Amino acid sequence: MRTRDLITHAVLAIGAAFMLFPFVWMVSLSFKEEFEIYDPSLNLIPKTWDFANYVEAFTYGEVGSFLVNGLAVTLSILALQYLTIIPAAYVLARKNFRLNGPLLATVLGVLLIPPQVTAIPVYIMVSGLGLIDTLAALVIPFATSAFGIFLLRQSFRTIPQDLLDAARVDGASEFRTLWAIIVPNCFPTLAAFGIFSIVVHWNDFFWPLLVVRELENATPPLGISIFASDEGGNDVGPMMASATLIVLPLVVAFLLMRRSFIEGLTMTGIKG
Amino acid sequence: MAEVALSNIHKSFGQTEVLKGIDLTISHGEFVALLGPSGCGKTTLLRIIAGLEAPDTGSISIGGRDVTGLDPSDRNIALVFQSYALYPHKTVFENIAFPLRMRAPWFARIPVLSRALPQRRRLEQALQTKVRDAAAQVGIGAYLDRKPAQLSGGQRQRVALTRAMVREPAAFLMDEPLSNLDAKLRSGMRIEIKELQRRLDATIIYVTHDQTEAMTMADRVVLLHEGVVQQIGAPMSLYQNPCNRFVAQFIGSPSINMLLLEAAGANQFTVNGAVIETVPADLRQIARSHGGRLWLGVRPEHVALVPEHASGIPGRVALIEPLGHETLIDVSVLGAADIGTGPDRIVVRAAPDAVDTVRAGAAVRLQPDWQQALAFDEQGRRIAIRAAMAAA
Repeated sequence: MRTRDLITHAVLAIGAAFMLFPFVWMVSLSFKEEFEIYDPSLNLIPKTWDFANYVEAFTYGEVGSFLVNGLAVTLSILALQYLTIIPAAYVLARKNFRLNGPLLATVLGVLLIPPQVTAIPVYIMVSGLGLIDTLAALVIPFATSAFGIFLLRQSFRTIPQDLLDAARVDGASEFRTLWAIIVPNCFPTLAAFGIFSIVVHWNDFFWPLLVVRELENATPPLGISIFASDEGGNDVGPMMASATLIVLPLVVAFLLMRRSFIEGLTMTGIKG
Repeated sequence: MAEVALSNIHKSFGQTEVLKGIDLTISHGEFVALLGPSGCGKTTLLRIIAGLEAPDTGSISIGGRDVTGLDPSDRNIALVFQSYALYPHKTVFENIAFPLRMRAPWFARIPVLSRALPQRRRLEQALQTKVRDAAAQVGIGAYLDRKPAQLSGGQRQRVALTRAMVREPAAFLMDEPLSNLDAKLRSGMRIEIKELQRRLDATIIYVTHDQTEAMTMADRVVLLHEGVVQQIGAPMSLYQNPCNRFVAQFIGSPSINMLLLEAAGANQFTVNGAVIETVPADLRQIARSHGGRLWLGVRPEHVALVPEHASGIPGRVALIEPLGHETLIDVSVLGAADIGTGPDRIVVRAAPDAVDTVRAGAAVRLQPDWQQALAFDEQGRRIAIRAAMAAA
């Protein structure tokens, strides 16, 4: 058993090294002075720790504004998504009516369509509303999520009917039952979806590229790319510093909510 | 507390008719058990009284008020579930407080915001007192800060009872509240629920498939079968005076022995295929007036086990079940299986020491106490022996 464990861990460690290396290299470069960046040797630890790249990222690269935009966009999207998917999932999970099956099939069908397919019609709609090059254009198309509805519906279905009946007899309204009984019991799933949504929209490059023109409305990934091509073509140091800053919030959020994330996606049912 | 009255309740699920016209009146302070085998409609009936299901026809009134179309929360009833249905994310205190919070004035029910209200403190104090008093009465005062998952089955059931009690409902509805507990705990909880009912002067409608629970706790038992009320009465009256074969066979453990009395000749009668001389004249006469066939129900305590050379129904001891305070002897009736008339097993309730005197496989004879026999016709309807005699 010991040798097998060792082999397993060795394989995992090699895999982890491959995945982590670009990331570590990015962090390493962000702290190096310019002459050291172009040093052909593979030094992971900078010879001198230099914070100038970070200062430059904030002063010339507007990383601060990218971060604020990114935060505003992802949190607005998440809030709107919770607002729409919780009631939708509740109805699909717990109500018997003739259209329930077809509606669920529609939701599942939407899951199969890649966002690139609908990009042009959605672009035309957003443009028709006169929202091109605003933050609203980044938020409104993602106000709901088929994946979220499906994930939550599955989770809501694990709640025993007795619990909902008890709440009804105790005098809770339908809204109250959802808010005080169902949502708290499905918290891990809601948290997992939250992290998923934030990661996807924080890292999204495709949609912001279509609807954002001005640097002041750019989200982090778009901002960096504009920054890279426009002025920082060979400014590797500040670019790596910006990239590090942009990834940091996600890493911190994930580490804080790691348990909820895993629980929510493995879907452990609750017992009464 | 109030009277609960049901009139002509019908309910179907798709093609299946679950309740076929139930009429029932439960007085204030009464403990009524809805008893029946699984699938008899008892839980559906309870859910209709609670308002969780709507009846197809018929009406329900609680305390003289027609509640047929009302929501469960407007009926002022409490429901205790078999699964306890405690809210897993709330502490015991919050579980008990939940129905009270739902009845608070509207401004105290707004999520989050209500915490800032000036009246909040006074309401919260009143609520604290109520919850703590109720919890102390049931003996769970020490567990108020725990989550349901940290409690044993018996403690959870107590929390569920407290949650029902705390809002002083017009009636308690209980759906097999004890069936998830082990046997020992169950008999303790039976006594506790009964005492609670006396103390609160509560009206309780109690669904169970366990006749022991129904017989020991209820003032009246309503026996349901296939959506129809078979008989309503005090527990002992159902046992001693069942109105049909189903009631006779359902109540009593082990269940009543069914014997088939048949006219076999001019003056000869057989019981389960064996010629028996001792059948009394009145039973013979009733059998003749019912086409020569009569079903007789004889309780296990009304059958005597006698030696092989005596007169009686011949049989062979198949199984001896010593229970300590009594011994059950399971006798297979000789020849019955071959002839194909009547059940081939008869259970005898004997004294504890029978375990020493009776051998498995021994040939014996059975003497039913004919005076105690209950007569049924082919359709299972009860035939009152005295009335039948008087008419004849």
